[in-house]
Amino acid sequence: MNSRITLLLIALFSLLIVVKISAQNGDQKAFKKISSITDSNKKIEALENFTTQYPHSDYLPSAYYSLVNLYADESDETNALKYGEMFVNFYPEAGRMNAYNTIAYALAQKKIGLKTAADYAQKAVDMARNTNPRMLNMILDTQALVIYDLGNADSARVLEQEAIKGNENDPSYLYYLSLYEEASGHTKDALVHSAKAILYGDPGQAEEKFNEWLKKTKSTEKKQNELKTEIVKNTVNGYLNTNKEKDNPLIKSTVAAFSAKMGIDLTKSEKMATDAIKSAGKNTPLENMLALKANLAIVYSAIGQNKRAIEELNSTKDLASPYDSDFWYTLAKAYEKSGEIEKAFDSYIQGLVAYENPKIKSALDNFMKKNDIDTRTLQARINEEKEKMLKFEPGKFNQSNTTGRVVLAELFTGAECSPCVAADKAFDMLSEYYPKKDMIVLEYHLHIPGPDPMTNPDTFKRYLYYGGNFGTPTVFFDGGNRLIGGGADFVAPNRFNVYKHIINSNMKEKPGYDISGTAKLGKDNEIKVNVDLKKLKSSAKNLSIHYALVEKSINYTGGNGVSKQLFVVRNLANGPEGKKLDSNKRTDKLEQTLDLTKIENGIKSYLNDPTKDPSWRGNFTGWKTKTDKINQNNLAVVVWVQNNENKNIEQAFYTDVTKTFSSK
Amino acid sequence: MIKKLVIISISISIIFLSSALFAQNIRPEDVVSITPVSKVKHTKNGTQLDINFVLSIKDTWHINANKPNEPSLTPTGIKIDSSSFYKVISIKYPPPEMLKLQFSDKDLALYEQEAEINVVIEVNKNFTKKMLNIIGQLQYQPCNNQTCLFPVSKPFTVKEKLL
Repeated sequence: MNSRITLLLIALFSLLIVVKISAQNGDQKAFKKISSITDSNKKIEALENFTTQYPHSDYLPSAYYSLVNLYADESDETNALKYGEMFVNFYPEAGRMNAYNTIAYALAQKKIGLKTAADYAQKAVDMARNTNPRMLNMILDTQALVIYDLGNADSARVLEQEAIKGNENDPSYLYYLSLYEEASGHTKDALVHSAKAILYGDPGQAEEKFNEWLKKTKSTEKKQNELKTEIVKNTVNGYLNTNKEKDNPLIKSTVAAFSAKMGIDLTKSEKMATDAIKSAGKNTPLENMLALKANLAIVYSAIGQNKRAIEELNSTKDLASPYDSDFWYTLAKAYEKSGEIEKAFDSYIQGLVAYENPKIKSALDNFMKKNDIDTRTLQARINEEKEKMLKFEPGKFNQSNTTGRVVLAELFTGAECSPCVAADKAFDMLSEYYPKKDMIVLEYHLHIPGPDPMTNPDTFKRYLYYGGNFGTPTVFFDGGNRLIGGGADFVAPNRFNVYKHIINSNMKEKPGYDISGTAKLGKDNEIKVNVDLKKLKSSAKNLSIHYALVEKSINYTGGNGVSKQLFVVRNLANGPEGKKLDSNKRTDKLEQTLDLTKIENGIKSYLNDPTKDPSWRGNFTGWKTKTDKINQNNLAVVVWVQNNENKNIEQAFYTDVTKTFSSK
Repeated sequence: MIKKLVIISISISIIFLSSALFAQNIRPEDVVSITPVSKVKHTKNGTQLDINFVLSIKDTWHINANKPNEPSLTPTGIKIDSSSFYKVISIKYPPPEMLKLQFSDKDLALYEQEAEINVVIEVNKNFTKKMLNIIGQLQYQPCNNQTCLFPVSKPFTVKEKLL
């Protein structure tokens, strides 16, 4: 072939690739823009334009699906069905099971195009039976809903009975089964299954429905109570039989809360829930303690002692997660019952601010109707609450009579990790709230979920030291109390409160050692760390002394939007296990040299090709910014004594690095 | 009911566990299970294997799509080890779900609940054994609203009876 023609063809081919790439980028940008439109008519118009403008886009199914929902909201069945069909047809025939199920469910939810929904649901069920039986439960669940919407409750009941197999304790399956049972005249079964749904975490209206249906079954209140008692006892026995740890305080407390909710054995329930809290030891994880208190509050509420319920819940309010719908639901209900409408509304909002929990939403809808509150007011209050959370000020720690224990909080984080934002910000707050003589923070960066240039081989080794079996963010307090998880930025105040709670509790423990010292940077670019150790009470063996070189702040904006990275660990002298201590010595003077040139070169070499290090995962496509220069003027050294077997930290110490020379 | 929606349902709200801020320990390998569903096709040009790798993603978790819209995120990808017995004809990834997660101000291209990757393999004519083993790895990186895990390469083997 003529070389000129070859070159021309190569140029043409390259151009086609460029056009294809820019078209792909174009559809992505266009679709992103559409997702921010709030006016439904404008959104429909934009989405329809998108489907004609980008007929080969990967975002077409998302566009079709949005159109199905938008048209269904407008009660435009013709167009909802048209885009539903386009959505289904986007997929190859053999792979349409999920597509049929998705559209069938969307139509059933909006109660529109139900005949087509039934047809799609049947196709999905047939495909699941033939090729993908693992998906059968959820697909039958959709089919049952469609059939129920079409008015055939008995067939829906039979389908849901099959759907629930293997998910017999799932409150959502249980609730829907009870709904179909009641509608098809099997009220006793409906009561049994709705009671079980309440025990396993009512998805919304199980409690309300149970009481409504109970009234229909028996003529007298006495007979109704007898039936209820029988159902509750059987449900509790079933629950206890499936749990091996019958003496576990949380299980006892769950039974107490359930019985109380159902209005059975109230005195016994109160005793059980109170005893459960008493028997919880100081090692009871915080989340279990919160659940125990919430269960006791449910019991108090059931016996009409709403003030005590409120008191119990308010004692842990700061620690309750914005995602803990049960906590906020119980608090809101207790306020509502005691006539404190404004506080009830506030608690519902707290439970709704992180996400739209259906149980809270349903209760709030009723509350708003009753109290004549419109949706605009609700939205304004939600925004206000988020704003308040974002403006949270931690204040200052001002306790003077401490034991001398300096708590070390170690955070494993990632600059690309979005859920790390809440933990990162909470750590910023901790470092402002506590003086360094009471609490010290360290942040180890990892390549989770993506490349992070503040990672170094030592941060990964420290991750392995703690087991290497967790994600980011994860925090360790004095080597223990591991806490996984963060969230969006507005969750930071809650994270701060939870961390503070653990830190304050750790502070009460007397330290095993007293540590003091200095860190001085010389002209030779070496930091001399001199430490005086004094043994106070520690009888622990296998102790090591650890030195971390810390850069107090690095300006780097990762994918998660956090722009200032604080107390970043740059190096662990002697690795993650530190240097063995002679635990027989009552006092000791130790010296450690940190060679800044060597450390910086190590970081540079690591960042040049991180794939050689075991810390690396995935593909390396280069750095957006390298953070390989260490700022001499912004350094600190953190020293601590740790037991490498059980990881307990005996004491920690922080010192800024001072220069022994004046820099020009 | 909502949580039973499958992969292609576009849902903006995310389901959490009630005590969601106290996330449990989980390995990235455990977030996704891989089930290959294959069909053997005998054509005049030889034998082809049409394999649907069904990825079941644990509730509340997501993995990045094959084309994530943030360059720093690890794409989900399937790699079939090369062999003298077969060659890979095509790999097709499902379209992404565009989800706006609460910690992000933009939509992310993700897979949730279930995703199917289609791989077509052509068996070489000189392969005469009854059973064909196909070895490969699935790369992905999981997150939920509270935590992210390391990217992982999860190995798999597909054993297919050809005769």
